[in-house]
Amino acid sequence: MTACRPLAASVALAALLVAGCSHSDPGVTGLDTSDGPLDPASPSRLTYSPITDAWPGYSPDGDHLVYTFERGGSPDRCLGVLPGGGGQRVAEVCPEVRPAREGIEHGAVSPDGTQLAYTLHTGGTSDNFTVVTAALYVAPIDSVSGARKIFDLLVNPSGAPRRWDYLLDPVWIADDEIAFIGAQVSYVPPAPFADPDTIYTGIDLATVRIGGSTPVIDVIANISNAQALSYDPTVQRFTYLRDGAVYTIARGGSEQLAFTLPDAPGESGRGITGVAAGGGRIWITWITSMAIGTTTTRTTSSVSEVGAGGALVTLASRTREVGALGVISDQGRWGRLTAAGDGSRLAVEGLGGPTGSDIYLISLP
Amino acid sequence: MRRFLPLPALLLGLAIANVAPMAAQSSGGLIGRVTDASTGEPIAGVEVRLDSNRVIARTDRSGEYRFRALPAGYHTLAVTWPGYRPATRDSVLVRAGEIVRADIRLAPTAVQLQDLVAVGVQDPILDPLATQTVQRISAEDFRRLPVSSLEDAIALQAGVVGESFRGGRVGQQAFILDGLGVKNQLDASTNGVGIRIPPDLITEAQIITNGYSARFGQALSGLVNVTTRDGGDEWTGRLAYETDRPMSGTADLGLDRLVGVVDGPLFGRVTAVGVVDLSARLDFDAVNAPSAVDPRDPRFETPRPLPHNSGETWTAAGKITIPAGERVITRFFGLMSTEQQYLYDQRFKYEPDYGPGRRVDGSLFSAHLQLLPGSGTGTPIVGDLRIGRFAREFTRGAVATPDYTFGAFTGSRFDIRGQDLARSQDTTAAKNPVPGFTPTELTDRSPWGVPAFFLGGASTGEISWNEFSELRAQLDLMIGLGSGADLYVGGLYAGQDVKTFQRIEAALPVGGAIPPATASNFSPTITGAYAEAQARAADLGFTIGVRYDGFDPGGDLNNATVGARSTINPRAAVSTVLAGATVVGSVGRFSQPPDLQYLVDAAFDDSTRTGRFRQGNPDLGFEQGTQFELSGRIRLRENSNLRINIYTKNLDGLVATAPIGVNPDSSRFVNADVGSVIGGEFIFERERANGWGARLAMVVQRAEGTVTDAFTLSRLIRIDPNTGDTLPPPAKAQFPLDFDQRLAVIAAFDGEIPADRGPRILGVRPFSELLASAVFRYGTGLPYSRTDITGDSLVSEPNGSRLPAQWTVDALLRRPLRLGMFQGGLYIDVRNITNRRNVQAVRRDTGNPDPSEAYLNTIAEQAYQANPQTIPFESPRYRRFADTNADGRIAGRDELFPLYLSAARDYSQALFVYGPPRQIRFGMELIF
Repeated sequence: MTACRPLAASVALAALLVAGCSHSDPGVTGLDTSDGPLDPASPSRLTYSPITDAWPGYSPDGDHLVYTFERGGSPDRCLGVLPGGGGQRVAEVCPEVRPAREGIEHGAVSPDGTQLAYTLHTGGTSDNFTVVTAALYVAPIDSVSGARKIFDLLVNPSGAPRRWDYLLDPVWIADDEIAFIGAQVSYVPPAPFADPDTIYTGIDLATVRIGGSTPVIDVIANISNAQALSYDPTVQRFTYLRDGAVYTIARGGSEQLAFTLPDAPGESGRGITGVAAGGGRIWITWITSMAIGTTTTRTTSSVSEVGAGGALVTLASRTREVGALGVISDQGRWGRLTAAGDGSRLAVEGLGGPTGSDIYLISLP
Repeated sequence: MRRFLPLPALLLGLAIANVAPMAAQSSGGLIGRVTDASTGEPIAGVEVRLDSNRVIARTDRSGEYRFRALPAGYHTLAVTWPGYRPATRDSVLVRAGEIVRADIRLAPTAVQLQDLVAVGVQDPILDPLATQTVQRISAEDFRRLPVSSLEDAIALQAGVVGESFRGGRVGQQAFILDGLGVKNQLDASTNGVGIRIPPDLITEAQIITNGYSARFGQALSGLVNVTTRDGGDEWTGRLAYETDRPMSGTADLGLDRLVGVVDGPLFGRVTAVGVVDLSARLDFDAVNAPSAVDPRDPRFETPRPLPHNSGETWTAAGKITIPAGERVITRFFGLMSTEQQYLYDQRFKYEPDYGPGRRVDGSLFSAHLQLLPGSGTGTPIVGDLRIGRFAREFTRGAVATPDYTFGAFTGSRFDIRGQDLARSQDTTAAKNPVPGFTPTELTDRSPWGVPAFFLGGASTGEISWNEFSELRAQLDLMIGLGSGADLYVGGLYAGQDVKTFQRIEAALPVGGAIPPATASNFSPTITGAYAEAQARAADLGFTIGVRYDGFDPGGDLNNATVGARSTINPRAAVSTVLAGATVVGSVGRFSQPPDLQYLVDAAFDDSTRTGRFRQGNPDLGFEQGTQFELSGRIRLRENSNLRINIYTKNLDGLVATAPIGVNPDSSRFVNADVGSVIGGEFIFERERANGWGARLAMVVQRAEGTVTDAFTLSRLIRIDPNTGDTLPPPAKAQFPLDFDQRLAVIAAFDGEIPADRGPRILGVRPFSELLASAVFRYGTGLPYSRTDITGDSLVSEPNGSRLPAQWTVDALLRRPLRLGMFQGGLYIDVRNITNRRNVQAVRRDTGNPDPSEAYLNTIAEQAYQANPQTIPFESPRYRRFADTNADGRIAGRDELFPLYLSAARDYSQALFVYGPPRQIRFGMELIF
């Protein structure tokens, strides 16, 4: 029966071939992409676009950082989503047609990192963009073609106490609930014959639940002049900036003053420009000005944590000096802040200076 | 204008027509004489039984018996008669289109003579009644040669280049399956027939390239005539699996193939055969292209397999044979096959999930009622009534690569985007952006990052679909006119349905640069009738026939109502034996209706070198050809023969596109091109005997034709925009046709070591019964046209340049094994064993596979100028290696342009201009 052996061997070989040998995998090999910031030293610059990068917003878990960027040609604004620690965009939403007649702004990533809330404004030509329609949308983060409109702005949404022209600082407070500041917009010329500035005035702190077939709006508080909204899931309180001071409020509770800058002798002015909260901690960006000699004014912009008893622990600073003959040095200033819900990450707008408007990551102690 | 022949003329034509060879049929004949072995006297009235009494004939007064219309293949002949010893012969080979002679001498039981039989078989080489140029592929060839499909086997035949027969265009051949004509009349010139015949089902396939029988139409250059086998008297089966899994790296093309076949008696004399043939490969269209030159290109280290380039074919077929009485046999045949393939698209190299795919579903269901002649002495008549339904559906569009279930098998049908819309043919809905489609973007996932050349994010929005179905009825009668002549008459009617739909850029609304969706739905009919006679007088044989073909597009097309048209095609052959050689002269006129796709508006490429958007022409007429051939066949020795065929073929009325006026983007299909082919075929065969056989075929040929191309090449023919008349060129200058291969050589050898030979090792002879075969193929280069860098202007004559010559060597080793009642075997099949890098196409501007540096710089510069913007670090397009000053931005020409140039080189690298690489497949089979 020696002839049996080859056949038995062949059957065994067939089984072995199928079970033990897998085919080579056709596919594309990895790309030369970067993970993490280009320079990790804090404050670590996350964006390098020569045009504007602004409005950073962390997802509650800190894994995603959404921000607004421009491709050139207002109001051609897009949303980009970076890894929480920096790197290259993992998602972006842009107007489909250029020159754009759409503006996409005010992004927020959901707690599970799968959805993106944003506002979409449509208007006239890109040279003369006048808002015609605006609405809040929610889309899968990897496919905005599946976006759904939550409610329209510029009208009185069902359940809202009044018309909101604009929607500021959306932030997810649950998998199906988004908080925001409903705002009014006014266009005020800063001087006769000058182009008007766009002034946003927060009027309501509200949430919208999107889990059902129709959105449900819940107004938490009527707060005039509120801005820079953040939500700290650790203490379940909203934090915002109003009239130069930091306030917090819980759903169903009343507004509480959390922090205000003390007066400082020798300074010509100081003020809070941004606030963020997470993990039971509060950070602010603030600015001070003081005279250096007789002709020079130094302006210092800082990112600081509000410590116990209101003590400020400064994490980063920028200065700008202006003399009689003009700008002597300009590192720019810090703008809006955003923090991860657990307080593990902090990002900030860097405005002006030699690098323009970009997003930075601040290392936390 | 109606061009149908009036009925009386048709009947007259049939009445005056004569003869036709049996050739080109799925069946053959078996004749012989039964005599008394002791006296030599004929025995009348003897029952000669075939295949376990499935068919019975009775000898006439001269002892002659005749079986007509037997399925080609091996048959068992048995004779029992009182007073004589029973006589049987197991393996009488009946070949399609031939009459085999088997004389039988019966030994009286009272006489002690040698048992029975002397069987003499008519030599098919010298048979003067075989007037056709036939090349045969037997079931044994499939086992002994390195071929795994009918297409592989056809490619080994003289005069076949790809799907071109004797220099003709693709689609000038017809496919005959068990006597039933099957043709993809919709787009044969651009796509295949759509059904795949499993080799395990084939008894014999023939390639016929000269004046084939008037019984067949719809072809100009040749026939592929396939005969499938019936079920046997005992249950047998075969299971086989072949793969290249043991190979690694680029040698692993991801092949898996499973074959199962079983046949046997169902009940009584009813038999059945069933075959399942499943194959899949991760690199379905593998190419032997060089590796990429840039280390960042994924093809630098892994040139194969290409992503999104897998494919699979599923075929299932079955046949039931039902004898009823002695004179009637009914056969039911069914075959379904699906081929679906992801199509590698260089544009989607880095986002292959948005690349295109295609699926072709083909099915054929037929019933064949065969009436055999009675055993009486009256005029023998064989009747064959065949009814078949052939359907073919083609779908192409974007399809995402799924997770494979086994090898490259997906286990499901492709979900091609937009296929439901296409089937609905809703051109109104298709005016809007089609749901589910979004515009493509320039991907950021290439190694170069820059927005250039490579697409992603969405498909191109192509939806292409068509469906062709045909219900064909075919009646064939063979009437015996004594022992020296046969008359064949018959006809066919085929009702066809054609549906097409095409939409491009489905993410965008129709308008502007986005053309409207095209759709058509019409029902052509094809009719045919023939009469053919074959007669033999001494060593002189005559075949004379005439064929009528009619074609009616049916209904309104392109807002024009057109009538039917028809042709008459005479065919004749005369043969004789001169100095031991059979010499055959034949002449035939052939015609085929145009591809139905040319009757309606279309926008796709095809082998006629046309493209873009073209107006359909419902008034197209037949494409026609006339072929003359002189052939000689001689037997050099007992087992060797030489065949020489000298032929010339004139083609006329070939479909071309001609510009209307002077606007090349407004063109119309017309019957404008003519061509001619002259050539010679030299075929030497050492028939298999003593375990080995060999075959050498050489073809010398010249194929030329006029070249009418509305878009790029030679606008010699135009259409008057006012009258619509075709304006001929000043002179019918002819240039090489696309398949003008001047010299081709094919050599095949196979040999087997006898069972008791070879060294004995540990009690086993490992090389006994080892079968080895090799095939060498050589062909001079096909022509192509040189153009300028834009591709729109010729810089030399049409098809004035030649590709390099190509050659390959294939080999097969097969070792049978046995285990009790089971038999099995192992085999290794190696194609292109030298891994020869054959160049099958070149760029028309350079004459090489690769583009010039000037071209690369030009397209890179255009891409850079379109998107010169800075790429910041956070952009997915940022590549650290390109940020030479490490400032977090790729900015300026110095940093950006090298990326665009690398992307241009990547995008332009030649892939599918190369032939397949070496492919090694390991197979094992179990026969039970």
